[in-house]
Amino acid sequence: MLRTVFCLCVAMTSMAPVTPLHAQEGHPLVGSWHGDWGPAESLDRKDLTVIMDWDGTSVTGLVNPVTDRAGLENARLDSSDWTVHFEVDLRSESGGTIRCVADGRLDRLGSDRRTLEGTWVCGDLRAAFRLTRDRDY
Amino acid sequence: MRYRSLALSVLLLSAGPAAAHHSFSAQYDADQPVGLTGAVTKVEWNNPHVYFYIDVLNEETGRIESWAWEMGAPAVIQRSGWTRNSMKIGDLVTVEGSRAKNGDTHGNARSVILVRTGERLGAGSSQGVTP
Repeated sequence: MLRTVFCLCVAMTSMAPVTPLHAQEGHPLVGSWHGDWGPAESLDRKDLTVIMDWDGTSVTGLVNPVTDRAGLENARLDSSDWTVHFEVDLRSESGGTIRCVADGRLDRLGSDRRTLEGTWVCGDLRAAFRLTRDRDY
Repeated sequence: MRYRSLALSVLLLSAGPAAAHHSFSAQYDADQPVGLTGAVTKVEWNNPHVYFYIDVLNEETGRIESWAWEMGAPAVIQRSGWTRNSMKIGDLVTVEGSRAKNGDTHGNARSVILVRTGERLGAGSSQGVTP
């Protein structure tokens, strides 16, 4: 009986590192993020997908891969206050492109479903954006 | 007694992957075939199933939907020609498969066409393999 209990303890101890390993995700911006931007609580909010990666020196990425397929520019994270800045050229309604600038702050850092919320400025338009990182499975 | 303890330990250690494995009919509806084209946003090359996610423009609502697609195990789909680099973030793909029973934007992929090359790859679907 004692031997069984001992073996059970060894087995459970050997499984213990599994959970912390899932929590080690590297750079907090890496992943795919879904959300929207526009006037608060409005039906006119536009869908926003941002996919970010870290190449060891800078944050790279892709915005709205279906509709805009625009590359992320000047993306940076300030780890002293978890603020995030990035810029992207999206398609304008007139058919050209318009520079959009996002400044936000990371929240729920301990979760894979962390959030990024802040201000979205597209030309003369200023609105709020919110993004949630897709879950890790 | 020693063997019983060892067997119990092995059983405990294998519990995780076993819980993630399931039959096709438990989760997907073969009578709800789906064919969608979208852009890849995430690929998870894991056992027991490779998952990938695509953004799809819903033409009726004008909204973007994120669809999750289940494929076979890495070893299974590699035999169909897949490599880890077959599908990259942002790639456009057309997926054919069956939708989840609960109506979520989630499905079991039968085949994937890489729009960039036109190549069609089997997705190692569990349809017809598991009950």
